[in-house]
Amino acid sequence: MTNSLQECAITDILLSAAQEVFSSMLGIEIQQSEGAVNIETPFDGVLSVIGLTGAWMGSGFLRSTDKVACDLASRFLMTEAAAVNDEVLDAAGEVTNMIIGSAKNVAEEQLGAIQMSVPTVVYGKNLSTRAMRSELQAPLTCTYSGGRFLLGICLAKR
Amino acid sequence: MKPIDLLIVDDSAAIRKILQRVLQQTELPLREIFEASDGQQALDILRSNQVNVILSDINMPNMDGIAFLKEVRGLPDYKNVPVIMITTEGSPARVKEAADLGATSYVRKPFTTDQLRDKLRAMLSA
Repeated sequence: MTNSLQECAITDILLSAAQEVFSSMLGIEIQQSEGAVNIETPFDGVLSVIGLTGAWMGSGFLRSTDKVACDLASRFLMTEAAAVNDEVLDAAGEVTNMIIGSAKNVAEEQLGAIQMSVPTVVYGKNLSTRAMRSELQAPLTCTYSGGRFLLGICLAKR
Repeated sequence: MKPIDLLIVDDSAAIRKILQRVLQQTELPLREIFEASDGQQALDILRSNQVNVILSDINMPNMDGIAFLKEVRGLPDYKNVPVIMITTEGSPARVKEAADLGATSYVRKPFTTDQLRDKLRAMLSA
């Protein structure tokens, strides 16, 4: 690996990927929230996770409240989503897929080839998550006109 | 221009819906748009229908887009049918692999609907 890829660089890559996806697919601008990122669990809402494997392995995720997930799906599909349903979960998975995929395409220039799984999306209350091992961790909170959501990548060298 | 029968292969219903919407905006003579959520389902559709164009994702369960493309090029009626890969997989190795297997073109997600509409219109009307 190239050890030069630091957590701050991963955060920048992730933010840039998210901004590209949101501006091109959803027509909205997002910003990174200032201050500490709250990745505490358990939480209530929607969690979309993509597995990453290669010279480095781990996962990328998007986490939001059900309200934000519905808002993102409504903008993505151009139809009103009032409550979390299969379409909302599918949209959350696809948005995550595009963000993590775009970030992966940039990161693998330094980390070597990385393959992605298809997204797994869960919705519920009192959800807990744990990264098994992570040498590079880049969580960030993003805000946009409809609310805020958490994005992250956790990677460990194989 | 003769009517176009088209197949969309993507495991995301959201993306299939967006592609349907973009395709309607191309004002091309679309006759029928088939949908499949993975390569295996897509092959079943191709065995009982003749389509003129295929839009396929790469990263899918059951049979991914690369394996699907390989199978498509092995079907006698589909050796020259345009297959456009629409995917987040942008690594040069993956793009080359798809091109070597006979992909006609490559569109990277995310895309704007304008970009995709213009590209599809240009490719499908050629």
